[in-house]
Amino acid sequence: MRSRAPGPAAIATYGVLLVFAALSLGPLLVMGFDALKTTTEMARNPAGVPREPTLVNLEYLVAKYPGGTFVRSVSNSILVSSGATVLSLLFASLAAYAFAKIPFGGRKVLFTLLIATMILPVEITIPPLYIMFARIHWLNSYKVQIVPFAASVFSLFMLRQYLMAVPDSLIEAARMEGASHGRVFAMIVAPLCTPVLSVLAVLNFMGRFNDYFWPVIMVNTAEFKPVMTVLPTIATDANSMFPPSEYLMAGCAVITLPVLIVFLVFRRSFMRGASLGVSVKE
Amino acid sequence: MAPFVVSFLLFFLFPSILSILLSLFRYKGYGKAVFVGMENYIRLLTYGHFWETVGTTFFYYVAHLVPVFVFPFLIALLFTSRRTRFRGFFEAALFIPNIVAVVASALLFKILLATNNGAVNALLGTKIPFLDDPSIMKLGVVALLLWRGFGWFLVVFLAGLTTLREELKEAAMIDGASFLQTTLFVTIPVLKPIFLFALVMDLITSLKVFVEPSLLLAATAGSTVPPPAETIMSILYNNMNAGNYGMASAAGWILFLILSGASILLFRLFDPAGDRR
Repeated sequence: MRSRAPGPAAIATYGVLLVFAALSLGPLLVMGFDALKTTTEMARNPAGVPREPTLVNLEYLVAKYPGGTFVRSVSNSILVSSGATVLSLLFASLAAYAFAKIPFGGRKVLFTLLIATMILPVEITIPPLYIMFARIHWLNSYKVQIVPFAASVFSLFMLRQYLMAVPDSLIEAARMEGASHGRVFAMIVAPLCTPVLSVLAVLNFMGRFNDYFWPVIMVNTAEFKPVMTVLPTIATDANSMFPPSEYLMAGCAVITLPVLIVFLVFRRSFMRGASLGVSVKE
Repeated sequence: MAPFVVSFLLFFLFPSILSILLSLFRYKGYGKAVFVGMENYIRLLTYGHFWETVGTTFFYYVAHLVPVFVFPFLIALLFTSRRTRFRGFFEAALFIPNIVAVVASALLFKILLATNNGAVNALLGTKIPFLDDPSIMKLGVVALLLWRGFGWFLVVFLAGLTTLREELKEAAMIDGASFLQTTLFVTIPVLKPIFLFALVMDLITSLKVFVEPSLLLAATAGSTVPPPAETIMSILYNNMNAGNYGMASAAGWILFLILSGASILLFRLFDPAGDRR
C-alpha cells in the first residue's frame, strides 16, 4: 500500500498537539536562552535566542555569589534529599516486610490506623514541630531536613502491597534453612522490591528536593538552606539596582537541567511514579 | 518495623495531637500558653480576609480544573484510539513541566510575564501588566497551575485507558456503536474511578496551594503577597511568621475540614448511591 497524504483531520490533530507541546516547552526554552544572556542583551531581547551567548551568569552563581551560598545550597539540597530518601525507604521497607510477611497480633488494625492518618495534611504538624525543634535546638540544621521524613506512610503502603504478591513459600523456605528475618530482608525482600523502590526513590527525592514550605519555616541560616529557598533570593542577594532576571533564569536552569536529563533517561520511572495511585485503585 | 513506628509517632501522630491542643491556646513560643478555647477558630472564621483566602483558593482550583481535565483527557483518548506518530515525544513534552520544581517554575513565570521586558509581552509587542494589575494577576497563578498540571493528568488518564480492556471497546464497536458512543457509554463510565482519583489528588494539592501565588506575585523574596491573591496556606504561613502558633494550628485544622468536606462532596458526586449496591 502506498502511503497516503495526511488528511485535513490528521493535520489539524498534529497542529493542536504541536501547539500544546510548544506551550509546554516554550517557557523552558526561554529559560535556557535567558540564562545565557548579559544584562544588556536581556533588556533588548528577553524572549529570543541569545545573539552573544555568555556564561557570566553561571560564573556569578558558582564563583561570585555572596558567601558562596548558591553552590552550598545546591549541595545541601542533594545531601538532605538523599538522606531523607535513604532513611525513609529503609524504614518503610523494613516495616512493609513485617506487615506483609510476619504475623503478629493487631497487625491489621495497626496497618489500617497508619493508612487512615494519610488523610491528615502534614501541614497541621508544622506549628507544634516548629516549637518542638526550637526547644531541642534542631532548627537551622541538616537533621531537621532529614529525620522528620523518616516515616513515609505512602511508601510503606506501596511496598506492602507489592510484598503481599510475593509468595509466602519463598520466605518460609529461607526461614526453614535457618535464615534470620534480617537476612531474609537483605537477601530476598530488598532485591525483590527494587522496581518499586526505584519509583519510590524518585518520588521521595523529588518531593524533598522541590519542597519549599518546610525549609522556609525551619531553616533560615544560609549555611543550611536548601537551594529552593535560596533561588527566590537571588535577585535581592545580588544587591543591584535592577533585579537581574538573567541571574534568576540561570539559577532556575542550573537546577532544572539535571532533573531534565535524569527524566529523559528514566522516563518510565517518572511517569509510573506520577500514575502510581492508578494501579493501586484496582 | 520499630524504627518506622517510632518515627511515625514522634514526627506525625504526636505533633498532630499536640496541634489540636495548641489550636486551643494563645502561645507565642515563649512564656505561658494561655487557654483560649475556641477563640482562635472564632477569630479566623469571623475575619473577612480569611474568607477571602478561601475564595481565592477555590478560584485557583475551579479556574484551572476544567482545562487541565478536558484537554489531557481528549489527548489521552487520541493516543489510545489511533496510532499517533511521535506519541512518545508528545507525551514527554507535555509531562516535562511537571518535573520542574514549583519554585523554579513560579520564578520562571514571574520573569516571563513581567510587564516591562517580560518575554510574553515582548513577543506580543504589548505591555500588559499580567502580574501587577490586581484584576488579572490571579490568572497568572492559574496559568502556572495549568502549565504544571497538564502532563500529570495526561499520564494518569493514559495509565487508566491502558488498563481499560480492549475487548470491551471492540465488543461495543461490533455491536455497531460509533466511536463517540463507545467513548460516552463505555470508556467514560469504566474510567470513573480514575477520574475520581485524579480529581481528589488534584483537589488536595490545589487547596494547599501556596508557593505559586507567593513567589509569582511577591515583589521580592520575603515581601508580602498582595492580600487578594493569598490562599488558605498563606494564613498558616503568616501566623507562623508572626509567632501565633495557636492560630496557625487552628488555620491548619480548618484547612483539614475544608479538604475533607470537599473530598466527600467529590465522592458523593461520583457515587451518589454508594456504589449502587
